[in-house]
Amino acid sequence: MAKREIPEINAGSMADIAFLLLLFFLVTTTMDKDQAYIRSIPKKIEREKTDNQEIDTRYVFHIFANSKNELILRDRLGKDMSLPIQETDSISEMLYDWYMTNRAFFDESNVSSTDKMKKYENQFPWYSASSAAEYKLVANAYYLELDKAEKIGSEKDIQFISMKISEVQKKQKLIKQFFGTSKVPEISDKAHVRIEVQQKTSYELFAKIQSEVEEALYRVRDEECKAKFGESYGIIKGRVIQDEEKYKEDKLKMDLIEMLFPARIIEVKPKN
Amino acid sequence: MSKFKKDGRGSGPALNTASLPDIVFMLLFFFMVATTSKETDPAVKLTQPEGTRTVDLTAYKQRSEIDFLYLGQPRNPSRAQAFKFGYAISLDNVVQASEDELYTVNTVSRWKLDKKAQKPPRMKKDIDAVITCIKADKDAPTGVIFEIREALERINALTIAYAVKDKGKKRD
Repeated sequence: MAKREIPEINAGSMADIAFLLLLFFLVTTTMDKDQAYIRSIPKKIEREKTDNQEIDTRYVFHIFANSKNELILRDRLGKDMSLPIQETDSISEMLYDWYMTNRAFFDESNVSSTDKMKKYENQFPWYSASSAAEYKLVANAYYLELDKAEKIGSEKDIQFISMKISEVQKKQKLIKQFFGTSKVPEISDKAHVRIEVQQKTSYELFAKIQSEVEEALYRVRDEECKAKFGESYGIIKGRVIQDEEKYKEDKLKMDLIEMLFPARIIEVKPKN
Repeated sequence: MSKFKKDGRGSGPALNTASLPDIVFMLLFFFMVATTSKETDPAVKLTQPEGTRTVDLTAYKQRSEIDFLYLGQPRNPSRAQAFKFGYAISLDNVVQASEDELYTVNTVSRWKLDKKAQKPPRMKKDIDAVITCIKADKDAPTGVIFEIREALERINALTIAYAVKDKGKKRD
């Protein structure tokens, strides 16, 4: 039998089909990523207030935006001032100063008396020198309180104190690992950024404030991170978000940096 | 005469284009793998504000640890008066008023709890582990955002994200 010759298949239109598919995907997909600022809402723990003291203005970085989208901030001497809308970019610089100005004077035993006076010249938060040993004492004190609360059997107190204990223990562990026995500058735990808005404040301004706060936080954290670990904070954080389990080392580093510069942001629910 | 004149000895070998589809397919696969498709268009109109130093949410999306909520003007402008300040919340493409008889404060929290209940058991996560991302229009009043926050606080969904468009670096 004569061999039948198989005709060659013309593959010329294959490219056209592939192009068609390619174009379909090109057109239907969006490349823009979702970007946001992540904030946590403070957990409500109902507990009887034991101390009702006023917080010193120096511990609050206060940003207020009203319904007409006007900004009022507190300056370095603790006076309220209004900030023109074109100058919102300077919020991050003000916040940076708020964080860093008194940081150098954290250890009272190490600075000269003239430097000691400097921290009274402004209305910025004070730092204290913490060490792992000190936190161990704090944790022990909390354990005693926990014992007391367990005897009384008040569920809310137990919950609150256990939360505090785990917080303190985490700090102690981090300081021990990265600083050994030396002292660490730690911002007062009262220090926080307070964002106050009104019902009709635009989201754009609110987002701008968040952006400025994030910018300042990133700057202080990044500087510390580069000095301590020689790597950018953004890169470390990116890895942790990607996979927390895989980058355990980075997670610890990030925890340390975030402990030194905590993002304590209080957003106040608008009343009017 | 002309330098470029063909010498008329046939038209050269045919160009083999058999590998062209391969190249195109390669491109195609790149796009198929590298892109994530948008699930839905929100039922409300919104333009996002800009900001710097944002967090990329892709990793959270891949682990389905994030729910999106939209706050913007309704597509049909005549319906705008039905909503407080003229802004409506869109939850999975269902437009919700922010305050009138249609709206109960529980809407957002119920949506959030439903979302959790609908997930297959192996993907179920603690309600606090799932971020709620608010995508709001730049002119949206923050009062509504704080209402949403309050609803989330009540069910202990305590992580919230404010979506913006990344502007890149502020300055260097």
